[in-house]
Amino acid sequence: MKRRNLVAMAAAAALAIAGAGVATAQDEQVEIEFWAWSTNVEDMVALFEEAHPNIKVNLVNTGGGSAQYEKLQVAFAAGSGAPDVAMIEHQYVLQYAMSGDIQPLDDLGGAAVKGDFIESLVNQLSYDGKLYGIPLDASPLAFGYRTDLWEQAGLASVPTTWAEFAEAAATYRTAHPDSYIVNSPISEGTLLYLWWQAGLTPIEVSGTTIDIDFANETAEQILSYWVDLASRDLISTMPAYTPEWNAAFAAGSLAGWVMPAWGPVIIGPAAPETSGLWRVGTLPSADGTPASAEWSGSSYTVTTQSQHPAEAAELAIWLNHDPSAYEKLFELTGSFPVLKSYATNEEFLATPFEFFGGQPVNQVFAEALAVVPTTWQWAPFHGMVRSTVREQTAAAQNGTVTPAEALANIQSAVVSYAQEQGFTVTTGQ
Amino acid sequence: MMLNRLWPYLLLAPFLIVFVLFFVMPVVLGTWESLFRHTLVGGRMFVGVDNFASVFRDASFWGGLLRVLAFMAIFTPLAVGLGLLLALALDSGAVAGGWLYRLFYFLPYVIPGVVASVMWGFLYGGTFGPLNDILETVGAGRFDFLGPDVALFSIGNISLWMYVGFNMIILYSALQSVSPELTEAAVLDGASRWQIARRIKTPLLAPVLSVMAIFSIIGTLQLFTEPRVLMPTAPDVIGRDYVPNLYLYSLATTGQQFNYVAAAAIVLAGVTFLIAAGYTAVSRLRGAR
Repeated sequence: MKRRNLVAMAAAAALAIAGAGVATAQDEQVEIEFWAWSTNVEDMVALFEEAHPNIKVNLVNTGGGSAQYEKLQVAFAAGSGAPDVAMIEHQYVLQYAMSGDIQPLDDLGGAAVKGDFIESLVNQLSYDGKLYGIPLDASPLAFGYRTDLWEQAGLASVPTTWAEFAEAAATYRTAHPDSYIVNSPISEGTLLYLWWQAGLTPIEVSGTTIDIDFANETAEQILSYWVDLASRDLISTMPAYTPEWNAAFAAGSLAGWVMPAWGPVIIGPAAPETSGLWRVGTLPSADGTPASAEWSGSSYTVTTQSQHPAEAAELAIWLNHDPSAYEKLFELTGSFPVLKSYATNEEFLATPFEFFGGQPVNQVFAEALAVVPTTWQWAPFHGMVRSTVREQTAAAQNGTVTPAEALANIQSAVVSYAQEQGFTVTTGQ
Repeated sequence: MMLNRLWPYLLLAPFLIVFVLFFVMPVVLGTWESLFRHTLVGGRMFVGVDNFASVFRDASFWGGLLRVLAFMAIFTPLAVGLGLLLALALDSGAVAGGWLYRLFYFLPYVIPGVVASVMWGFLYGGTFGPLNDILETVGAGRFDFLGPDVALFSIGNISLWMYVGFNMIILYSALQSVSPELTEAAVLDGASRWQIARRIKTPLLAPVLSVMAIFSIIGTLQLFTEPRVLMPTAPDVIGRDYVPNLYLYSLATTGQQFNYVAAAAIVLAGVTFLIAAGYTAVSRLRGAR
């Protein structure tokens, strides 16, 4: 780890020099390495190289998040071997920012563009007021459903409150004994997002102090709500992204999904024969006031190991901010926009989707993005939090522990982990 | 003169260099790292044997270890026993076209573990798996092959499928070295095929069986591929602490606890060594009697 500090210092020194002379650095040919798995990233990189003849980008497509994190983690721990620019999902950015493996982008051009990105994203990517990632896509949650199956059950549209949704689940199940209205968010590992939707802040980090608040009444109500639906067999309890889960969508044994903005990319290929039968509605909420949350999404970050931070930052920013690149990104990937100017673009909002029977679903997702609580923070050790929440809430769903016990277990596990990590821990303040 | 003395070392060098670089060094580094802790706040610090103390209190680690021990107790005898049975059957000459059987039984071993696990994951599938389709067709109803009580056996089944053929080949080869005079003499004495297999061939295989059992024990304690591949399809049953290696892997990749993992890995190696040494001691004692 000593070596890592040395590299960090070297990088900081390089940064100081580069900051003084970005213009002179551009005269030389520079090579940077870029790890990403985003859709069509090859084409985007080609576009960047065309506009930046002095920068050569060596793209390594790692194929997916978990594969990339394992490699990154090893390179960071080893103190060498990390790329200049790395794609990291929003929820892990804070973790790498705190460990000093990625660097703040404010002085590398980030400050100038910060205001152009959607606020809830900038908040997720900031630590102690500094921006550590340039967002690539947003993923507000809405509710996707099979309109034909719902109509057969006498359900016209997505209920506005979760209480009404529970009734709809029962109605649906009576009408379709071999199908479910939705799969359990506990099984899909997305319960955290429903806490976020309710405006909860189980994690709040400020400097080296962390406030941890999982064992509260609202969190318990939400967990109990889903545990109850599962125990009454009104929702299915399949793990997500499995062949079984895909098959359920294709066969119509799942007629709804708490769906992120990138959902169409997943569900379209999984259930092509159901194309045209889906619609997207606003996610139900506790009191009927629209509220949402975000299911992942990614950023480009610059590592502290980078020898060319200025060029690396240029790549991260340009790909997600430059108008010509953004136009292309959008056309190629269809990912949900992160720039304010695009999220309100009328042409974008009016685009019809065949899979959703011609519905301009971006409208729904854009509205959802606008009502994402901006107070949410990811833990700087989100991997641990995520698996603990996943295990304990699943135990509650299986009936091995009560919802209250599950939350108490999560609380104590996360608190002791944070203490071991050297944080000053407060609870529920 | 000098050169003569150097020769042995030169010849050993290719092995020694690789051995030191990729075996000794990691062990030394791992041991060194196990004495530290790296935290998000405060950085790296020396903690002595703290990590080891935590490992000994870690219910997830020992729970997973108990599970692989149970797995070992059930599947090591099965893998070796079935391999022996097949080898004896093929060697007895009672089966026509023996080479074809050898090929069929050995083939699964050639398939990489990840591929085998993915394949079996599909076969076990709840709503679309062929095994369940068959069960449903014969009216037995659907069965959750990765349910809480049976997942370990479903994993064991994959291991058996992969290793029985391998064990069979080794034992079959060993049987080829049994002198035909011994069996001829036994036949003249009126021994049946079963008696020859049981009383003559099996005792001669004892050393091979013993080595095989040790490999099997070590391999089992390192069980990883099958649970890792099947985990996403049954996360509530096969958790990240299902077996020790999977637990350490999760801690390292998502928990960033490299130092703790180093300590736990050393403990796991120690346990493996003790069990293997215990087994060797017991089989020596029995051999001496």
